[in-house]
Amino acid sequence: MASWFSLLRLSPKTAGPRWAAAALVSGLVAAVSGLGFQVSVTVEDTLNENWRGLYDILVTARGQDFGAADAFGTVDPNFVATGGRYGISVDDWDLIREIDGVEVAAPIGMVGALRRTALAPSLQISSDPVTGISALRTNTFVALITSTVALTDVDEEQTVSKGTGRVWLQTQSGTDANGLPADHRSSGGGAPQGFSPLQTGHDLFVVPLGVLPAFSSNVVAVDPVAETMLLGEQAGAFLAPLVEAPITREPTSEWQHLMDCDAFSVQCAQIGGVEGGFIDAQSVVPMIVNRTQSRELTLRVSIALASESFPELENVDENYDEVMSWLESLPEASFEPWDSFETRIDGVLVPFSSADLSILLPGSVLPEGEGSQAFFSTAVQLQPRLLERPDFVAASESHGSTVELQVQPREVVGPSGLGQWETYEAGYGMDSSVGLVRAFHATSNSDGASGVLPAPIGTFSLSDISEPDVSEVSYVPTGVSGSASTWSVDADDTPIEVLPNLSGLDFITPAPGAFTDLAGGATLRGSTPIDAVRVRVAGVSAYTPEAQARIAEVAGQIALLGLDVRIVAGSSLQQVSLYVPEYFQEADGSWSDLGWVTQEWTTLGAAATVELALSGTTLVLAAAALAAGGFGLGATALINGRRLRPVVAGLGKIGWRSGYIRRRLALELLPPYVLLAAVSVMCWRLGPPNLSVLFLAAAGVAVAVFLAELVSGMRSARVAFPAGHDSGQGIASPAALAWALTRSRFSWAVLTAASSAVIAGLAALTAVALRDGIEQAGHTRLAELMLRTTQWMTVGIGVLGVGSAVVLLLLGYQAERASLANDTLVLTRVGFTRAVQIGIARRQQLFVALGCVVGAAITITAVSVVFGGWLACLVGGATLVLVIGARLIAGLFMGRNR
Amino acid sequence: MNTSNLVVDSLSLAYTNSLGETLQVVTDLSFRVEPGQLCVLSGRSGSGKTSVIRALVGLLAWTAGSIKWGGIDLATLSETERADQRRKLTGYVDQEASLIPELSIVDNLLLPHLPDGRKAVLAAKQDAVDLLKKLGLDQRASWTSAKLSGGERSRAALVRGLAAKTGVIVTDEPTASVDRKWADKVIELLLAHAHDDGGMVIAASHDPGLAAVADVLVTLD
Repeated sequence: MASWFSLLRLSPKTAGPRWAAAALVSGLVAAVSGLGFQVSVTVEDTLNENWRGLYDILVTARGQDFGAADAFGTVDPNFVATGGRYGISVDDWDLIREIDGVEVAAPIGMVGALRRTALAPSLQISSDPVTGISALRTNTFVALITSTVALTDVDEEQTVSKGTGRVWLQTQSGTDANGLPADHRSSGGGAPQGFSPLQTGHDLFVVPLGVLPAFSSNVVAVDPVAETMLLGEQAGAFLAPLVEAPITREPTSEWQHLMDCDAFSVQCAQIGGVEGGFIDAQSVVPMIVNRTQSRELTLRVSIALASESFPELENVDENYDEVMSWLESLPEASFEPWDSFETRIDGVLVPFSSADLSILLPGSVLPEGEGSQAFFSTAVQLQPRLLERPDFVAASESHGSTVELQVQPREVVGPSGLGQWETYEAGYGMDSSVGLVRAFHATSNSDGASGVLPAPIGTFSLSDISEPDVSEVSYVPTGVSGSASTWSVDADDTPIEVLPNLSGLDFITPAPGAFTDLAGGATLRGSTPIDAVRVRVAGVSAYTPEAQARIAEVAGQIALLGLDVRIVAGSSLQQVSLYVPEYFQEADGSWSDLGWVTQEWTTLGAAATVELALSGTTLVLAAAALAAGGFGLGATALINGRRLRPVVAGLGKIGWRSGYIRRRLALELLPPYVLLAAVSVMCWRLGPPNLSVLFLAAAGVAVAVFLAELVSGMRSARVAFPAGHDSGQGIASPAALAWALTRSRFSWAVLTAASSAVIAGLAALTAVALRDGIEQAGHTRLAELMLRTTQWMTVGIGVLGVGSAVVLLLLGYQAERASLANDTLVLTRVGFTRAVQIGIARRQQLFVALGCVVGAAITITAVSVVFGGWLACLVGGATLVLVIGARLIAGLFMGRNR
Repeated sequence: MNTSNLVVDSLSLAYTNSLGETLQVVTDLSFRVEPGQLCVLSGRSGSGKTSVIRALVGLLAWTAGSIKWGGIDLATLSETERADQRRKLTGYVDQEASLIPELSIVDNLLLPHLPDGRKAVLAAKQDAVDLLKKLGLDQRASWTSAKLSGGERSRAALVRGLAAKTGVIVTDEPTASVDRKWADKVIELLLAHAHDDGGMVIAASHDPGLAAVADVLVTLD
């Protein structure tokens, strides 16, 4: 050849689409690489920041079965409650501490309970000492008194205890049989205990309102030094008194010096009593007491007066039996509501606190010199009563969440923790089957640890234990800072916090009532006072394979001691759904379910799961995106190749040898594909390692597509259309013409339909990959964070792929324009009006669109059947609409301008 | 046959090139053709024959003068009316023998009748087949036009013009792509259309044979 000219100039309409397609796919490769790299970096950074909580390994006694929690790879928040059936000795804890690589080994164990008993509220009634007029405003007072202790649970008032009694009071003058002034005489009776009023003075009556259930608080043993190391100096500061507690535990006056005897006067007096020989006790258990007011407890007294009165008697004593018989025979309907009043008695729930349980009848005035006559006690029993973790079984119905369990009731209890067959708590500790969801063991007897006195040497509130420097994502329950967050929802789906049962015999472990040290724990519980040891491994920071191996190594060494280990590093909290049956007692005495509640459990291995899921999802999305790009590029190349054939054939006719044409054509086709291959190789070398194989494949695709276009272009131009259809069945309408034109260009229609199918299928696959990625990542806080921070990148990869394929499809459509332009030319010259031509063009687009629908529907259905789920259908369908819409718009638009 | 006369009065045609320069192609051309006449526009290459032909069928705007078919000024017709006129009155057979390559020859021939419905198409089909036979294309009737040679395509396009029964046939170089034998046959058919059927033929042509039989000969410089 004498001079150089571009072969492709002979087919100028192929160059633009080729360059555009190659540039688009190159950009796609680069963008996928960039997004994939960004995902990788984000995942790494997020894991580094959030993969560790306060400790890395949870050590428990061998054989301690976490049951359903283990089955889901989780740890429920009740891991401190073992009922004393399992335990780790202090010697074993020492061995753990000595293992190389252990930075902190913080033991924790539930060792007993502080119980407040003999809580007796009372109603005080007096006459006005000046006027002598009874506050009752009546000479004879015959009443039905109802005493109710209630709290609010899950937004509803629940009755903790209830008692009724009938009371008869009568004013009389003179003296009684004992010679005491008898301004008022009284008597009483009725169920359950009979509220028998007492006259405590000249003008004051006290009506006992029964005895409240005993309220318990758990005592948890920790090593204060290790705990402070675990929680941090600030959060662990409340344990300082325990660090400084005397080693000897004999009840000496030294303990009194450590105690605030104003606040804990009874306990001070008890220890003083031991020293004075008045009380028999050998040991003191020092403790830091929780002063948090956790619940609001209300004592309500309702009074109903009898509508009929007994004739006044001159001498009550002589007619006492007659009066009582009359009182008990009164039907309940004969009492009419008179007054109701209430007072808060929250203090009874706080260990060692004093609580005024007396209520003065409104209108009464306490006589001068008379104090509150409440029957309350700050004396506290220290019991070795140990809670056991709740039982969970598979839920009988589905709630739609990942982990669904049903709390297994052992015996129905109410908000007080009382069994429904029990009137009082007296039987507690004697029957391990009592309790809604958990049993407990009393290691000795129910009357308290013999010879052991509590010594409250410090206090704390739950707000003091703010665990520092721990994100909520990596938070792992420590067992010290409160009950597990649990919530229900009301009818409007508004979350309602569910608080622990007052008895602690519930599925929510209550916050510790007091902390003691391991020596105190051993005093109460014996030789194995530790339920769990929380171990932090030294020299670990970033989430690296080396760090994980180091933690695993330490865990392995601990396991060699004969203990169970669970690696909680890399774990994260996950919401689980719990069905709680038979929780509330209704007015008719039946029990209703609490229903579904949500609690957060620790999911082990969350970091690895999330990392694997995101890596896999990114890989699938990137593969789908690049496949979409590759398909579009290939289709464009094949279309262009066909259009090069006439050029090649023409050059052959004028004497160009095919070898020369091939070389020239290859040289001119090469640059766009070199661009793609270069970008792919660069991404292979510099991009995220987990996607490198894809970029290598992209480079291969560049070579393959180049060769395909070259080979296609070099093929001799065949007669494009074989013998046409018989005109006898021919075209007799514009619609038939449109169909004939579409059918005659079957390759274009098929290519378009196939492209739509591929694009819709890839979109569906992208949706499936995202869905599966989310599923595989789990539902932990860490997974939510990771998905939140990477979602725009992963979705971006999918959108890029599908978007690129759509654009490439439209580029391929350019080729169709030549045919459409010829149609227009012919039809215009024949005399078809523009309206008729547009009608024909629209029908052509409609036929192609139908082909797209069929092709894509088949693909989407296949994806949905293989991978399951409506999501694939939805996304695939939406993409299909997008593709068809773009195709139709392109067809009509290009048709109008042809 | 629906035929009316053609009056071209002082027709001027010009093009504007990419530099904005105006190139005058035809200036002040006037002629008149009556039904039953064969008019030939002759002249050297580039003299504007094809431009005049395209203007006559409403596919090219002119700069001055008028074209009246049956007294109706073509310039007053809308695009749709011009298209209808092309299909029903002034059948156009272009130099490129424009056919849709994917359709069979018969289907291409029947294209002008499609907007009139199936009945019209079927009614025109036999005439189209007969015309194909006259021009030696009957064996190619069911072929797609892509398989035809240039001459065959040219003849097929002429058949489409004749089969349209438009009364007037406006054709550009009808004999340019065919050999003498088929050129004579084409001329014979065009003459028959004008003289025997009362139609009108307006042809741009270099062919002296066609010019020799013209009733009206218009020479362009």
